[in-house]
Amino acid sequence: MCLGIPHEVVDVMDEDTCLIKVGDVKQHCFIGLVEDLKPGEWVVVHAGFAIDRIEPEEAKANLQLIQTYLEPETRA
Amino acid sequence: MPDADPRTHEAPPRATDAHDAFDPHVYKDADVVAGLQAKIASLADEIGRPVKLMHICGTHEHEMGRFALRDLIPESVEVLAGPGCPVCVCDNEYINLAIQLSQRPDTIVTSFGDMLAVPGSIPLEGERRGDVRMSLLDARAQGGDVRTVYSVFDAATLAKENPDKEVVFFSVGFETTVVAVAAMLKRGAPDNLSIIEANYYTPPATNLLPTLDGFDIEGFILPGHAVTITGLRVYEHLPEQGIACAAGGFEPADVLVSIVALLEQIRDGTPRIDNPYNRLVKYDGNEKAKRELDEVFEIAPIRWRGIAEIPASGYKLRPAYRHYSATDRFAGHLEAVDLAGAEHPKGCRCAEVTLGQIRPDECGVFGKLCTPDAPYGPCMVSHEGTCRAWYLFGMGKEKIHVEVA
Repeated sequence: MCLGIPHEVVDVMDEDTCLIKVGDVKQHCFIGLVEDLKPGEWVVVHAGFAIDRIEPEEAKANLQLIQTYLEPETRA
Repeated sequence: MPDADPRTHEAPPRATDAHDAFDPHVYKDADVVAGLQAKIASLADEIGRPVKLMHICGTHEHEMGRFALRDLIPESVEVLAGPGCPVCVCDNEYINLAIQLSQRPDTIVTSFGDMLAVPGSIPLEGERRGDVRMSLLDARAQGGDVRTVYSVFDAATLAKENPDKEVVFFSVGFETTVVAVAAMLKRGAPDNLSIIEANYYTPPATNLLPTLDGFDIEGFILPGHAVTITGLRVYEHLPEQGIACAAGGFEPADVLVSIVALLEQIRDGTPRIDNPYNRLVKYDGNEKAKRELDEVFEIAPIRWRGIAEIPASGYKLRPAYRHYSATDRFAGHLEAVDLAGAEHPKGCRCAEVTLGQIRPDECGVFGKLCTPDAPYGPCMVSHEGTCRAWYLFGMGKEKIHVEVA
């Protein structure tokens, strides 16, 4: 049941609540477990709350990591 | 800004930040997926014998079906579904309690949609064949006030809107879901809200699996969103027992790369915990979430339906929060239900499916007495249930040739 979907934060209302973009609509999301979120950041949302954020740099590093699995010789 | 593509409803990339913004679609990239497919095939050749892997997340099973991922990997690599669906392992005790509470006056029982259709152990009189048991939907049909919510926060809102009623949230879920309940209670919940604590903690179950007869799983795809909360350290017992581990995300590239990571470890004989889902998963998890979870809940033994009571595998409210426990609040107000009967209805093999011991299509009632429209056992109910995913996506039928494009 741990379905989590990445969504973009469009507005931060207070330290516990934000609006996320879900398709063409905005939806409330609880963000009390992720600190200092700003609009434009991405969070993974499970059952109405953000389990954590995704930093663009980490996403880029992750994609590079996946690429290295295609070439095992290059990975330490 | 150009319009969104009407066929996909996906916004076009923004020119200003195209290089910086996170793009979830890159993990579906056909070249990456095809590359991983070839890599898995060559690793399977190198290993040269059949290998069994297991994931323990219902969403993994669902995505494996949705993207036909089993059709991309060779016959010699079998990926089995383990106990990864909380709705499927939720004990009858909690389902019966929720049904009984829904039949009290001035009581609203809320839960996730999946949970409402799962039969417990109270018999249902009616025309359907077999050992048919009652679900919360049947309780609603008989006049109970049972409502679907999307989150525990919706249940709290409902409690505020109905101050003259008792609102019960049937909190079924693994660590990912429980943490939201902790966060909500910690911030102050209405007094007329209570929680049915059907909350499960996964690592002790993965500790139990290797002790079962005939266990021959060589690698685990760890549940990407549960470990986002708990971190990976809590699974260190698996590589210590010689079992390969990799944190698995849920896009096609994420699932396939975790299989590559496992096969590499198996080929090299070096079991460890790899983290190819590191855009989200940290080795120590989400520290703030873990703190709040620990403040509100404590670890306790709990019964996993069809498996056993597993020590230290459940979350119970701590003494400071016990007044929110539905079990405590309504103790003595309900008739005892006999739990001595079979945990699953007669003929249902969900227990073996949940442990990865049989495939859904080896069960006699699968697709016959038991379908998504009329589920007989729990694994056919939930979108995360193995049987439902197999029925829905035709898994278990002959392999199909999939072109990655």
